[in-house]
Amino acid sequence: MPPTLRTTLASLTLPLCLSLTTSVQAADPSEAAQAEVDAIKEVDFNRHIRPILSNNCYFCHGPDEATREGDLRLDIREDAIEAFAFVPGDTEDGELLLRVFSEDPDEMMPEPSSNKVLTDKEKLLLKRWIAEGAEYESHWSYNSVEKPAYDGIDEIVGKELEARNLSISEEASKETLIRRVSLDLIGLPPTPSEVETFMKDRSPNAYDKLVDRLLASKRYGEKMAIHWLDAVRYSDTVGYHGDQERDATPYRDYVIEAFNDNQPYDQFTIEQIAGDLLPNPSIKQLVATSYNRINQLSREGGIQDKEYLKKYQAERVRTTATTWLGSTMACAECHDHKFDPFTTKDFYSMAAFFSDILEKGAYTAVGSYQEDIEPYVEIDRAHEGWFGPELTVPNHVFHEDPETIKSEIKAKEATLRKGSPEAEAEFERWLSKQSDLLHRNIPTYVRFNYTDKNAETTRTESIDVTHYPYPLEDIAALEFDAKMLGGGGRGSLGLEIRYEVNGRIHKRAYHMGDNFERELDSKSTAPWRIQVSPKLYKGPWHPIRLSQDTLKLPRGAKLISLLPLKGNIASFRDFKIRTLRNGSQFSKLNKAQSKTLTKLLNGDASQTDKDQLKQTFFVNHADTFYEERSEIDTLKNELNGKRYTPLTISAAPREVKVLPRGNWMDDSGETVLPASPGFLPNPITSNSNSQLTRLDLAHWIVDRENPLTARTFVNRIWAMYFGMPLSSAPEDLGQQGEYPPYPELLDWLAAEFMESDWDIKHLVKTIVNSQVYRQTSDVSDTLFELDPYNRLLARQSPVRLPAEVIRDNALQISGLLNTKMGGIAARPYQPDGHYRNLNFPRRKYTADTDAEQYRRGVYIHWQRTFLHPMMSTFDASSRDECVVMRDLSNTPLQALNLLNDPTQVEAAKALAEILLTEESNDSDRIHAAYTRALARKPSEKETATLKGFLSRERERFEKAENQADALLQVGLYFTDPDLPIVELAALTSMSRAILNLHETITRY
Amino acid sequence: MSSFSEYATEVNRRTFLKKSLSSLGVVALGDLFASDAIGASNPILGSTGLHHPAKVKRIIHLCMAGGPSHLETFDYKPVLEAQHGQAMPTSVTDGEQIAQLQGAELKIKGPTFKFSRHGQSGMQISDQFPHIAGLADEIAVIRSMYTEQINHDPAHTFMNTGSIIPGRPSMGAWTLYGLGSLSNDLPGYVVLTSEAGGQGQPISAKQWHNGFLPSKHQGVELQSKGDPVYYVGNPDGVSRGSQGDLVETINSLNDHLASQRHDPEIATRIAQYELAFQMQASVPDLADFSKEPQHILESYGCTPGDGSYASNCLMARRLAERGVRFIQLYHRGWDHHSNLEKNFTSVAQLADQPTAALIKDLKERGMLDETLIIWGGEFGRTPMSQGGGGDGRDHHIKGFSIFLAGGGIKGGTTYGATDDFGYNAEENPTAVHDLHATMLHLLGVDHKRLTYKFQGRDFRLTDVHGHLIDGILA
Repeated sequence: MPPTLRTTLASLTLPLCLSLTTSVQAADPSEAAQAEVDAIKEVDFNRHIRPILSNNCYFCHGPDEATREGDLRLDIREDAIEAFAFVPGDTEDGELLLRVFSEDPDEMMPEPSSNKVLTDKEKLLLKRWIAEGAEYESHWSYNSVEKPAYDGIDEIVGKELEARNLSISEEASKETLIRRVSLDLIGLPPTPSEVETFMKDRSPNAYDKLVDRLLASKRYGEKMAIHWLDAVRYSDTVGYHGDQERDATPYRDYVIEAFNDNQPYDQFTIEQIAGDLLPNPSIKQLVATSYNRINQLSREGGIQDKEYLKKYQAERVRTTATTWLGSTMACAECHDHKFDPFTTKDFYSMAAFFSDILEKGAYTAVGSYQEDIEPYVEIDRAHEGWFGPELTVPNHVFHEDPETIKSEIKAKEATLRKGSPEAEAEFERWLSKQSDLLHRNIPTYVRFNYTDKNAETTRTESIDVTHYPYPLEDIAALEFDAKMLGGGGRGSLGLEIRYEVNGRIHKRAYHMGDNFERELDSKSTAPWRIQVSPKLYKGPWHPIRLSQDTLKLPRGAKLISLLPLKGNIASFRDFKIRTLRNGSQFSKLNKAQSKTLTKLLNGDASQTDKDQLKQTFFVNHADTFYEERSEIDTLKNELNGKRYTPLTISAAPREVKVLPRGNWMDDSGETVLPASPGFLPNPITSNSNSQLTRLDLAHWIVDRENPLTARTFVNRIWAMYFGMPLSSAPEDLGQQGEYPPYPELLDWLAAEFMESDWDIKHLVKTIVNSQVYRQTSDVSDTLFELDPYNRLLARQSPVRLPAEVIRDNALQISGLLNTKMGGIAARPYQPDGHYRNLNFPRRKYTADTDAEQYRRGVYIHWQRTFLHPMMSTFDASSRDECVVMRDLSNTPLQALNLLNDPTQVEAAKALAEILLTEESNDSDRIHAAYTRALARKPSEKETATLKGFLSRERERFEKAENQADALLQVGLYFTDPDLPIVELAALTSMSRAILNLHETITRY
Repeated sequence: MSSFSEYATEVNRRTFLKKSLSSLGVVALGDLFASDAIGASNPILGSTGLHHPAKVKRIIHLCMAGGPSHLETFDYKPVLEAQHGQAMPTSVTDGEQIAQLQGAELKIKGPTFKFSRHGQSGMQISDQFPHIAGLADEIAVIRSMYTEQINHDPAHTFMNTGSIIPGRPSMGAWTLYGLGSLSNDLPGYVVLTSEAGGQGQPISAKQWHNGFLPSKHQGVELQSKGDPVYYVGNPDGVSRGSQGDLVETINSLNDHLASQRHDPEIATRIAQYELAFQMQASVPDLADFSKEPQHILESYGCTPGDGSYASNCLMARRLAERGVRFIQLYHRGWDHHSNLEKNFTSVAQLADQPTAALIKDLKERGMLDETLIIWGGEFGRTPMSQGGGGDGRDHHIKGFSIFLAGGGIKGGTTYGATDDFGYNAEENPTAVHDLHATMLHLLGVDHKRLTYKFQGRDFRLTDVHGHLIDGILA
């Protein structure tokens, strides 16, 4: 078995460059090493020497002063020469060679205790390098990006291959190409008709057209988002301890939209880090700033506010540095970086950029904001949520197609306006009721006060309502306002109503808000409780309405009292009963409508007036249209319903100090102001008069002179299309990272990316249009042996699909995929009890029972502590922290998942139905299934294998029809009951085989 | 389904298995769970170890989640008893990190339960643990543990990964990475959880995560209800014969692909499907306690499969027998901020007998010598009382107790000590990294040489720390 890619990569660069030149056979290993070193044309510091020094020497003789030994640093040439480590051009003098070649344990380097050993080849390389003058080069990724004088990808790779007597492989077949580029760009396989169109298109630009179509697809943004959301650690829960949910789905939708709109990378960066600091930020730019606040958070009892603030602070530096700079600044939290020139002060100066973010460390009673949050709260815009400030985001902001919904609403309302005989009759009844109310002079509202005449109160004080004079059946709704004052921003409250029936007193309780820890349950002893309203946030007065339908008071009840229940600290005011006068339990007539009604009842209204009022009644009040109105409400909610996302509010910056050894309890370190790492170009620093902001940081990151930003991004983008980045460790382009086998290619792409004004689609297109991308992934034994990890790019690589795409792929092949975009997280089937180790509160997972079940993987609920098992089995990240490269494992648990997960079995069943209804014989069915799954024809052997299996399955199910029936019950999807079940079950088995193929989950 | 066709399928399967294995070359099936482990080239690193001869083959970590009080288990403090109810000396607590007692008046709380001496060494053990006390000569108690994190979630992370930064591999994943699996048909790292006897603090899957190590080294949680391993059961309506035929069909098609392409992942995939199919039989067999004799069930005091700690202890033995390398049991119920007397009594009762039964059972089967058992929580409890009635203790990290038993451990040892107040580990302070170093040492691994390169750095379970706890080694 080959060891994993990652472990071997560090050692690969050298042998790769060497072994391809000549193959050396020698008996003595040192002779062999000498021959290998001799075979190198030119010893290059970045390629050959730095990895040796960095890996073996810098830990004690590098940038970190605190651990430097013998006053020697080898990362700076002058210092090394001065310390007599080596004499350029002279291999006889100098400590380095003496120590390196020494066999004396007291003298040799690296010291035996370090567990590091230099190979003969490494020693000889050092010797030759010193002999040739010991020239240093600055670290490649810290040099500014210069565009190498090449035409592009194909020329760079082609020339290098030519020099090695190799060449770019032939282009992959059209079938392979369309499946590859579809899966790579939009994360879905091509449909049979897309395959057919492409196969028939003989024009020279057929492939270009295909790429353009895919880049224009909305599915493109969803695929891109998978990778970006890993980097920015997006999830639907907070991660620490109770791992509670908090909504951040608008941010996920922002990311998808930004990729689809091809927002330039510099703008994308600025909006996420500092969208709130832009002039007149749009709501989308504010949503983008969720980036700063979707880190892990905690409300574990007993945590210290300060400690968690420091955790969040350090995490933001790690994530920002890894995501944008490909830098391991994390290493400088406790000490100066051992390999790269990042100092501890750099680490905390970077953290200081984020110190203005209004937040708490502990989202419990002990946590506090650095500034009062109240002035930042605005009704319907920003509020204090359970985990700090949140932005209210109406659904239409990220809705795919609001206009269609609007016209659907219009159409449905128009239908209602036409009425029906039942509605007409109901209208007449309503009119006579209104007439009755008018004549009895019943007011629209009856208000109640607290006994002590307080307009509002925070006390639990019961309100006497025995004086309410009207019959119960005339009540439309009970209304009041409530405001949350405490409870860490989370809100719950309730109302207990006492009433009398036949001389006996009864109680009912109505719960509103989260009631998260069941705190309301103990506030009232009412046996009958109902949960009514949605979220209540701290700050604004929330109008609460309990309609007649909700109240469900029994006939003949007489009201006694109202008792507000405070789940947390809350204020209440303005208790009133709205009667049915001038309205219905559903809503109230407006002023003009009320006037018309009065006119009508007095016999003064025109027919037009009457018709208008009637139409209003049909649309807004008629019980007859209760269901239709619910449908309209659902549509309205799709547009105007609210979601929430963590909001970055810029408040007074907190003081940031260097923490000695990273210890949050140690306040002795120096205070730092925001500043960029000093050794990188165009450094920016604050002074006491003007402190730099996140916006300055964002601008510094996307400055064209920043050598890391473009390289980091293109390196990761490359991995999406070759399974492997150009420099093998995308999280580290520093000294310990890999000097890429194709440095010119990385630089050419980085330069091209910036020259195109950070045009991401242009970058993607440049890559996938290249001949290098379009090569076959078939490989000869010789080439495989020569270059097992395809670092030379003389072919494409097979790549196993990411977890989300494995799911999407099965759903698309089977025609089940729901391509609805955005919105709250979807919940696919999940094994029972998966969340049983969660607490505060205990969690019960309920899978979706409608079309939400078939949504793309990027939309599924991301529970940090217990990720969906299918996702974790296929190497998705839990997103506790920034991850820029996922592992690609191959395990038995993956086999169990694809074999037995109801999502997969249901997909097989749906595919079987398609095959059965659309094709007439087994050969055609197998052919159709292969086209859908693999975009190719099956071979004769494959057809024969599947036919054999199919007939054995038919035989089995014929003998046990109940088994066939049981199999067809898996999942929500109902197959046509008229289809023969044995046939359908056997085809389901065959479809399971196809969905499980290695080829199905791999793009070649 | 006729028995003949079942039989024919079985025969075909076996033929196929043979064929697919031969196409895999050198790989042993058992390594597929951890095939790129450093030691994987060595067929079974049971006793040879990676760097030096191993004392044990496997670890059973009995994690008493929530933080059991050391002052009610193994650390008897007469001074606390004498000064019960008095103010805690500020000299001890000033400047120290405090969890829920932040800002509260700090009063001394004496031991809630009686202690007595046990075994030849006269080890002091609280009367709440009569069964464990009966094994005093088998176990080594460390009374001088300390940790760095005072809240449950990060403290567990630190105990498992040696770091407070999320995304680091757990000790089980490191073990698999270093040594590979010993099992042919079960995951090499298995986790079981149970809950009772107190507030059940949450436990996250990150505690058994592979972090930056390859994901095949991730712990697999065994479920007490439903499929013991997720998706191990066939879909409704699918018989074993049918599933076997399906797997064979898939593999035959994959084999066809492999014959056309140079892609080693295909051969691995084929083997993983074989293994998955085997697991579909071996996992139910593992979970089938029906052949456990009555006296065994009674010794553990369990109703098999009820999800209790006792049942999990018995499962731990079954996993150990089947070659699982790293077994972790979490019992959630030791967080006693209040009602300590009542809740501690109940959780101790749940934990005492099964723990002792497991040790004895392994011993009787000659397996204790090749197993390291670690019993303890993520931290201890304050010598100060908490709660209105003073019947609770807060989280405490400066000194607490754990015990170890099994191969290479010097039974009857009481190692290290806290100060008179049970506050600071004073004699032989023992870090979590030391525990990790010692655990790896017993597995035949030098903790300084088990490294993995990530973010440009060679990472270790013990970071730059870790010393062997010589005093407890035989």
